Amino acid sequence: MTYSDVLSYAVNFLELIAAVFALIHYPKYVQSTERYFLHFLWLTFFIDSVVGVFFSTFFEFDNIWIYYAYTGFSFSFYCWWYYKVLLKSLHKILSSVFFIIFLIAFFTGIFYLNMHKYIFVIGALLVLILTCLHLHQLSNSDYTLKIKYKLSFWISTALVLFNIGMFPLILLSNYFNVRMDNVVFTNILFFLNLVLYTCYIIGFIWTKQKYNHF
Amino acid sequence: MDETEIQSFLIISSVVVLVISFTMISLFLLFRKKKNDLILEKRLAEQKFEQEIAKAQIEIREETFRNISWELHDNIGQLLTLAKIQLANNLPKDEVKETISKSISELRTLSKLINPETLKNIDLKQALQDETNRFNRLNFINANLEIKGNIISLDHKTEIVFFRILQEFFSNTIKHAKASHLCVTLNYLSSELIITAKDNGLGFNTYKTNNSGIGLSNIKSRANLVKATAKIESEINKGTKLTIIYPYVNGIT
Repeated sequence: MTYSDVLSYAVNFLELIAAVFALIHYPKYVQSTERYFLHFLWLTFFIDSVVGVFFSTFFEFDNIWIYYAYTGFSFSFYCWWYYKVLLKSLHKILSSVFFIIFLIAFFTGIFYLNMHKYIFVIGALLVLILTCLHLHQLSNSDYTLKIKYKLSFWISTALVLFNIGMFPLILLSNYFNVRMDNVVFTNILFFLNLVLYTCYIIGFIWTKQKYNHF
Repeated sequence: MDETEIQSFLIISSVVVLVISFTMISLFLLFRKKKNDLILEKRLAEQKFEQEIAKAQIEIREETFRNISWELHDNIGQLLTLAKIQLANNLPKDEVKETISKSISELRTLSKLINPETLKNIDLKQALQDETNRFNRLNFINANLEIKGNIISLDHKTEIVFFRILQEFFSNTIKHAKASHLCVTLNYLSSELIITAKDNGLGFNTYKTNNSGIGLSNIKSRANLVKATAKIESEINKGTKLTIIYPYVNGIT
């Protein structure tokens, strides 16, 4: 087992921990739309570990399409979730528009294999904008006083940090001709996943029921 | 890892770390600033609220002083003058005695009304009862207070504000409306309190801005202060009606 294999399993392990914490603290956010993150996190773990790692090892098929489908699904999920949590109608329209833009890019990407990472960049950019809108909305609400108890704050923070870190990673690795399965890429990807899931886990632990009503 | 890999790793990772830490710090600063702003705003709003309550309390006191002076002059003063005339005209002793004892009893009622304790701990129902009794006693206007439902005691400050609003309405009725009848209702429903005060006086045109003046906007802003809504309806020669709707949930902070 190589060093990058260990890192990739560590990411799976992080996904599992986050999903477990989401399950433990589920009653605290069951009333809000954040509840779908429980399903989302378990699905992520399932696809990434069970399907992505084991199936592809045992049945020897290329898991690139599984990951591509998962990328499409996850960005659609974020767009849908932000559509739910953003309050202003302009923001809601924007999230629908972003969703359509992403879908177009996604289906175009099916025919161009080497475009996949750019599809990811587009999705990350769109989600990043939505996250900023949501954080802006939170910062102007009464939740600012106890922001650390609000789960959607932690989710948005996690997404901002992850996606904003993905830009330099993808763009610079392209520039330096670093391949996706290279140890450089895996190292930094692991670091970003660590940030992402740490934020999720902190959010699940700290959140309080009365702050998660929408 | 060969040398170029190490190089690219260092560059990419430092950029990623830099971007992430910059974002983290900005987020932290943004939320801290917003939090401080919000705290400051809330404190100011609280101060303003307290000031308004104090103002309402002072106005209630002023109104009370006005009433006392008025009552001393027009009611007890008149009775004593009458007694003096009766004495001067050598009318029967019993008649004079009756006049004097009437003025003594009026004096007692008055002194009970202006007890500082009653002024400090205003209870909405009691205060309105005293006010309507006073109107009836002085034959000024035919006033009656009706209470429906089970009385729910509200926050003291809210009651002060409601009482002040009603007092202002009463004084307008007496000063300007030339009404003969005044009816006040406290309707305690399960989720809200509806206060109505209605006179059968001259009324005014609610659409004419110069009529709605400071008094009416004052009533509305005071009601908003305690998260209640006030509505004034008036029809010329038919009377004026004030409705205050106060959902109890608004009092829970």
